[in-house]
Amino acid sequence: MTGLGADLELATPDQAAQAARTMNRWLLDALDHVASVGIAQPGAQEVATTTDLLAQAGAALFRIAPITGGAFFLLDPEVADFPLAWCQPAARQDEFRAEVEAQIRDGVFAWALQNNHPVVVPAATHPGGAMLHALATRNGPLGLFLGTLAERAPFIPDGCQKLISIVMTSCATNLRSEGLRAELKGINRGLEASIEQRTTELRQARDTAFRAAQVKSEFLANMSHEIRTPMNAVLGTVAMLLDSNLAGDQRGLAETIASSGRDLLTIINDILDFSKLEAGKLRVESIPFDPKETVTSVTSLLAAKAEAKGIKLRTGFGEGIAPQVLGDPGRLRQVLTNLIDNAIKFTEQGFVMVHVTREPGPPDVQPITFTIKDSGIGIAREKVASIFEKFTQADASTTRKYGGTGLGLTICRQLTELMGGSIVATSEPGAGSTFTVRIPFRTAEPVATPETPRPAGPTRLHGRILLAEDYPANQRIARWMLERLGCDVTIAADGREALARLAAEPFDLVLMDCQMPEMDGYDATRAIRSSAAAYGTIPIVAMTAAALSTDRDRCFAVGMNDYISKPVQPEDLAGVLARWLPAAPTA
Amino acid sequence: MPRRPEDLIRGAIEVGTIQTMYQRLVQVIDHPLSSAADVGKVISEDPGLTARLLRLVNSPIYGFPSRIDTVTQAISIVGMTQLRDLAIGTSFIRLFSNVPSHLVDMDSFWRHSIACGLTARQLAAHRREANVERFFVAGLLHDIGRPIIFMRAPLEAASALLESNRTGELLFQVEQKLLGFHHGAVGSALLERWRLPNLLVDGAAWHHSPRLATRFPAETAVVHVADVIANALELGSSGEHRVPYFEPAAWELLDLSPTILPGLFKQVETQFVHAVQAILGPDH
Repeated sequence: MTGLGADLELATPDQAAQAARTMNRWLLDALDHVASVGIAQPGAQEVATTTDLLAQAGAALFRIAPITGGAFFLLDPEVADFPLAWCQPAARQDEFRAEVEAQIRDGVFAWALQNNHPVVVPAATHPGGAMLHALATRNGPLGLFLGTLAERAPFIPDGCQKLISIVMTSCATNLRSEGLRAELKGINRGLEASIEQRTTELRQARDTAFRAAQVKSEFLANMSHEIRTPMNAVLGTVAMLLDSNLAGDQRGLAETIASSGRDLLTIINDILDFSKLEAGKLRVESIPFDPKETVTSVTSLLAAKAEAKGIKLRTGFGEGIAPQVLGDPGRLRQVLTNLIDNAIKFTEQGFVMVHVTREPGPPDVQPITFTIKDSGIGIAREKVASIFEKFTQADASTTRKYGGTGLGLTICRQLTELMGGSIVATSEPGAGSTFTVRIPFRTAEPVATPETPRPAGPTRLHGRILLAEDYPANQRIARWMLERLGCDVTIAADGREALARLAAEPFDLVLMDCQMPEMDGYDATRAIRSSAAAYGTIPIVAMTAAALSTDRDRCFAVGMNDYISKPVQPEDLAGVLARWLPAAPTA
Repeated sequence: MPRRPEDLIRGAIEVGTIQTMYQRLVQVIDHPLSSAADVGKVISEDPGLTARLLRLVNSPIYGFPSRIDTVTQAISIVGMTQLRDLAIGTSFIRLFSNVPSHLVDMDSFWRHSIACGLTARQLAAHRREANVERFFVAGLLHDIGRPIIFMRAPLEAASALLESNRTGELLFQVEQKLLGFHHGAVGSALLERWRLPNLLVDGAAWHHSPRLATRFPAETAVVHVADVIANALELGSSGEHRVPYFEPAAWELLDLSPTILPGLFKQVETQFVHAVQAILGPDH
């Protein structure tokens, strides 16, 4: 498209129409090129590089403007200079630099930078002249494009000039948004880093708190051992005392010591259980047991207490209760004991009813409901909801009148929930309370060989027993209990002495205290089990005040056969020994 | 008593020369085969216009580093449409030499118009508009309806001035009351009739109520803000002696930081002297 040079009026209508069509086609092509600028960038994952954006804009400019070469100069704010950032052809970069130097000297560069349209000026290095266009957004200039025009350059039509401006504006906007995006990414990285740091700090704080809680619960577990060992001695000595010939008033005093000691032990056990529950250390077992038998053993144990208060303790069973279910009989016993004991405690006259029914459920589940109903003082309606909270009794005066830690029901609820069940209480003041415990026991596989029935009646056993125990009071009590059962007893004060005794004479069973000086029960057991001598297979029963199930696991892990928890109760001792010793031939 | 703005402009002003020149410029620029030289040739046919344009583009307003000697050169540096718009804008001024001078000081009128044009041009430059000259011309012609009212309805114009002075009401509101329309409607009718770019038409029509501008809201907002600033800077007067209402929404629409304003005021005041000399003549 060269200018007519002559009067436009001289162009014929045909020439003009032809030219218009050519122009139209050219504009449509040019629009295509312009439309492609910056299309790929928005939403792309990677930040487009500055060079990519400049090359894209440069390519479009080469198609729509009559230039023979072109270069982008980008503002470097640090040095307040415009270094060359992209050019084509690359071989002419020195020439472009020289031309820009000249335009800067002439002031044209600065002028073009302020305008948003192509500026065509004579060029120092190029006979056809140069076209300058600012690369700028509204926030300020980013750089400048310099294009060299052919020597006999065609005039740049108005539409073409506008398209050049559009390309430059779009390129500048893209550069700026990529810059902002990069900045945003930087900020995000900073944020991620500080979140990471916070998380680490929080994790450390949590770990510290967790360790502190662990230390606390370990302390409690240790304390429980320290408390139980003398308690063992107290209860055992009182039992020995009661077994001797006492005058009437002396017997009464000794019985008071015995019952107070048992109450104290209950409280200690409550606190210990509670701290274990709090520490999340309590695990429930899943072993086959007979739920009816568990209930019966609890009620028969508490029957004497009810009878002493003149209260009727009745137990009823519904239909369809499986003889064997999977669950934790020990924890169930604990919950029932607590609830029934409470019911007796808070009932002055009337009855305590225990009713056990099987609820419908899927074949692999045996949901059993235990209902404990009493005719006691009851609980005010507004307080029923809070009785399962920690350290709560319905009335502060309750503690004075009835005693207790206030932890019993909390432990009941937590244990029940640990077994997957639920516990609810309903009550009317003066009309008694009803506690309902629902536990979904799992269905037990039918047991092929039923457990050997425990010998009924007062137990008489026969055997030579090595008792490894360091605490003198407990040595005396254990010896007394064992001799009452009909056993011969030899005492060793620690693990090392126990090993020496075993090597010296034959025994039928070892009662092994776990915590002893010199060599503890675990190490002694390992030594026994690793021995090739005959005593290497002797039954070993652990005695420990450490009452956690992990302790029991540890006992079995080192090779002990059974386990009895301190303070040792005569009936428990008899039951455990009966499993390992033959009954005496005659009573 | 005129009923419509059109009644005032019908046959009012002899626009023959401008119209002819404008139409020829449009024809040349839109012609697919035209060149800068062709456009230059059309402008050069009017030696007065040529001189004014060269004075203007060589003035410190443009600050082009070397001397621009020909219209063709001016086109390649300032841009073709840009120069055409300048040609139209500056040509108008000659048309209004025979306005009754006892009613309005036309010199002061054009000074206000030039100040508004320069302000609009600076605002547009900050917005990086491609054709800032069109904003210059929009500012230059935004009040063009007022001299027409003075010429064609001198009685109403005189009462409006008196009434405005007495009550303190803005002149355009008194015009509205007395005529049923104000100078904006008259100006836009005139520019429309001469088929000038729509931006100029709307700038004149809505420069007092930019919210009503639907075709070019941001561009009209530029003219509105420029008019307020030019009045506030007290560079000339179009007959109005108070600063017109300012529409905050118009400023919002410009999307510019207020921090540019102090520098902008200084620039307008500096450029004003040069623009007045270039457009109105060296003795102004």
